[in-house]
Amino acid sequence: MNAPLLDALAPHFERLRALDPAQRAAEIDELPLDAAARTRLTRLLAADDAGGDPLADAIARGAARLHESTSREFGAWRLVRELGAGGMGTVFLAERADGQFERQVAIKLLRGFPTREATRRLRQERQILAGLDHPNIARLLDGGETAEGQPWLALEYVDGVPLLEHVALHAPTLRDRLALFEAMLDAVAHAHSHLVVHRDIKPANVMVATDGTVKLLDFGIARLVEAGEESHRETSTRVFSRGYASPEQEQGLAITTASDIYSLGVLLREMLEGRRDAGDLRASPITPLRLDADLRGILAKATEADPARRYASATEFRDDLRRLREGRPVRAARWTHGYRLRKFVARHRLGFAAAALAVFVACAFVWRLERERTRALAAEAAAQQAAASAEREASRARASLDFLSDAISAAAPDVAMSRQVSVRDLLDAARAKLAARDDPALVRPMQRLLAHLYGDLGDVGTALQLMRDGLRDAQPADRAEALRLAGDYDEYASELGIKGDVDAALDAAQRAADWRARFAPDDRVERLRSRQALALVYHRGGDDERAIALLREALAEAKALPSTPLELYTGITQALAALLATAGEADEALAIAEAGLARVDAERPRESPEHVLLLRSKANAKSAGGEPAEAERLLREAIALQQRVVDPGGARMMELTNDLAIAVNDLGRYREAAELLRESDRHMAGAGIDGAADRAVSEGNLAAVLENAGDYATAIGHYDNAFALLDGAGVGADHQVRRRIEREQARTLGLAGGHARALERLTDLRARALRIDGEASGEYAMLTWQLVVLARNMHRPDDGLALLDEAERLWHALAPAEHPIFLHMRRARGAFALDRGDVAGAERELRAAVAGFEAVGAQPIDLSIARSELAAVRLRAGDRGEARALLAPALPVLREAMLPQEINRAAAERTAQQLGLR
Amino acid sequence: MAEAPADHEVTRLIAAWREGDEGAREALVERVYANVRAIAAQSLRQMPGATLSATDLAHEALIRLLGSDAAWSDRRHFFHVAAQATRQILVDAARQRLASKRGGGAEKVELDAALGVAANDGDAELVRIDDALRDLQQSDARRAQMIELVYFGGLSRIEVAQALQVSEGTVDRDLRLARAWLRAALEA
Repeated sequence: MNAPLLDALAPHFERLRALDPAQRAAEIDELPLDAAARTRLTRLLAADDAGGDPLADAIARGAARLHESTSREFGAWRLVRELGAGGMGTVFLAERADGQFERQVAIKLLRGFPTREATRRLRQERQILAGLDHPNIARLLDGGETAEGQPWLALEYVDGVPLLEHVALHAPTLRDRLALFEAMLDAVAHAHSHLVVHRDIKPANVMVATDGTVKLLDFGIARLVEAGEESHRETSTRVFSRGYASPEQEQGLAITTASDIYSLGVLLREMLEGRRDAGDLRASPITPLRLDADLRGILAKATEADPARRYASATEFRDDLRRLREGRPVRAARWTHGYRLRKFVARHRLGFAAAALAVFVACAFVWRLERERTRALAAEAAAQQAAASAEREASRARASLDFLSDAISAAAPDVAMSRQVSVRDLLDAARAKLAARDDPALVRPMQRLLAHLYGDLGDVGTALQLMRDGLRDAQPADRAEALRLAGDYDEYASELGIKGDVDAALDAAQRAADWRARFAPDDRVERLRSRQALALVYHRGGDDERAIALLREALAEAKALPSTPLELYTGITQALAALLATAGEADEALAIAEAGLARVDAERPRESPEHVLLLRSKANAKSAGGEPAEAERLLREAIALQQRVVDPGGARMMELTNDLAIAVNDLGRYREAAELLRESDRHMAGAGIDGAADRAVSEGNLAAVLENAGDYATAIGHYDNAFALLDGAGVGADHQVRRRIEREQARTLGLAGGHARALERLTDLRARALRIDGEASGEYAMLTWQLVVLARNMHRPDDGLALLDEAERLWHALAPAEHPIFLHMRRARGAFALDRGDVAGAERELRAAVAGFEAVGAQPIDLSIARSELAAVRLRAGDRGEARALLAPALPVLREAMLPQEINRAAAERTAQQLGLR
Repeated sequence: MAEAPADHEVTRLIAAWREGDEGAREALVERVYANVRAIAAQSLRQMPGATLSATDLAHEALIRLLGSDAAWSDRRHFFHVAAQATRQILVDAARQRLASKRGGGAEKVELDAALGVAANDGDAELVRIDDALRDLQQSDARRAQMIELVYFGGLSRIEVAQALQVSEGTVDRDLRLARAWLRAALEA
């Protein structure tokens, strides 16, 4: 039958098939066709009449058998049941088909159909993998290809539960979790020594067998799959699991043993904390353990983005964990602390001889307020609500907007939004009006809006109360509402954090993140907001390292994302700069603050709140970088702007004043600093900030300045206040804020003459620092130095000199040789020499100290103290002329900064008296 | 994992093919081929022993490779390829099974029986259908393609009409005739 013929038959076929058989036969005979064509037509019509569809049946049977053939033959193994499926293929439980011996295996059917070349490579790789023989590695026993060429592997079957399930189920102690993990490291070390990289270490690939043995599955299988797929390149993808894969793996760069180290680090963090990294927001059944600084250091080192900075081998990783378990100092942590401290110390020129002040960081997060923004917020809320699809929503939005404009005109009918009416007046009026309403659909969103505004104003107490009421029973119905509520919960988290309720804050931030993930999974700007909010909460919980990591990611993302709103960008920038400055990373903090300032100034007038915000960041970076004079200048500019543009009180003024006090303290103007701190305290009370941590920092700062100024008794009282606050908030004995304050109080006790108590406290603190931070830590070095100072005040040269030798050795490892701490050490040596009656030795040391302070352009206060000490020695040697010449310029400096009872000033005053100086 | 970049790649290949690039067509066929196999394997995983029709295979291949909301022009071109690939896979597999059976795989029959699958001669029939269809292609390409689109590609008569840019009536008539022709050829 050829084509023209079929076409020729078509019209006849159509007409005749409608007829009954008898008519049909008659008609065919009538047709102008040859005999062959008539026969064909008859057969076609008969076929058309037949029932069923053999074509469809045959195809369906073929398709059905297609599945069967992919599954049947796996060498000597017979499938029992399916175990699961993953990115690399499907896994079945199987047993020996011949029943020769009882052994169950896992058969893994790899995805894809390799070319002949790829099959050859795959066989080679299989040989290498079969060579791995370790009790913590599930062995590769057999392998081959199905009739159709699909590769399969037979692996040791591990009867047990996946690692994380085991951890969630049994909640092992830290020690037991580490022991499990060390066994995994042993297994990885074995594989690495056979030049096999796992490439896909993740929770699903680690099983804990019923006898408790941990087993790594699928060693090197990812490589096998890739080997099999290299033939058709456009379909080939690397096998890895997001979340566990190293950065180099995700970027398609070379994979090495360091890639496994990274994935192991992520997995360890998840075993311990229930989350892979700071940004991991999934709910986890694992109860998180509290990690100390050492363990965090180990995790950080294992998961360094740069492979070269990770542990060089699984063995090194394991050794460090073993050290930790045995309570010995850890390499990673030592490196991290030392590195940090070195930078920190190198930049804090003062503060090691005198008490140092702490910066408020977290309040910086609530730094937003301006009239424009108030309006923008109201408009945004209305716009978002209007955009919501439901009619109900829209009418509520209109009601809200009407309500707000009502409230505003009621407050100031003639001058609404003008400069004369403060934002607070407007808000108070709105709140009063709101209290009279009882329609929850209107009241709750308005409460939340007002909560934001009060938060902006720094009135945390009112904001928190409004937000709590406004969020009652909140449940988003759609995306727009979910995002709005997430913003509200972020604000709530921030306020709870300021109040010191970290757990509740974490819950709130988590809820915001969950809603964003659920309702707007693709919105990267919204994810940035979640990260920012979480970072704040981490900081509040004392985990600055995590907060910094999260903010670094967020800033990189914000820069890459053109749609990031300026407000969000500045928020992230200033928070990161503040935390970095606190951690001693002054250069990075400064660079970030300046980049932020440049961007803000390009988009906003110079008198904008964002400008003030980043000016403060820059000042703090300068302060951390050892430039207090520059910091003072910038802060005074920021304060003037803040007063003019925004608000003369509130949380921001508290922070700015505190920052200024720090700069002024660093400049040695202690009494002025104390006055500034009292002002900052007033702002704090005015803003309703009463979180334990902030108040403790504030008390500690005031105490430190008073101590520097010489008012020891009052200082000790303020330190006690700080402890009471920390106790009330349940801040533990080893918390860094508490230990720092304890250290400062002990030193003050020593200066005030409470030698025995000071000695006891400092000795205890030093033992704890050795345990917690290690011998190479800055904290340990600092405490050793404080013991030197105490021995000096107690006139105990023997103890003092031994400690001084130790301190000098420790500090040389931490600080550059030109650091002023070494000049202060010379002062101490001079004092001990004098105690032993070695006047010449004392003179030598003190001359060196004075010359050193002169040469480095030290703060006037340091130089003046050293000069006054040298003056005393010269007087003792009988050289009244030089003594006078040294003391005369020093005395006014000391008198300006310090009270008469301050020990250095008191000593100088005694010398002055003997010299007849006034 | 491979889906995201693949989507884009398939659209590009289809565009290139529409512009006459035969290499793109080859690449596309290869891609569809791999995908249909993967789908078949996966359906086994999800429900061992279940069957999946050729139509399901092609449809799922389409959705996986193109997404459910791909432009019609892309879908139309894709269906030609998907139908051909599905046909090729099914027939190749049938041929392979026939060959291995001829190789005297007693064990294989035993295995079939053990798994409760009756051995049948559907494979031979499938191979004959393929041969007949190839004959029809020689003489009557349009009607052969209709068969392919409907039986291996899973298209409805309306979709076939759109794909081949003919009326639905023409599709009905052509299909009736082609089906009858094939059936007659198989019974011969």
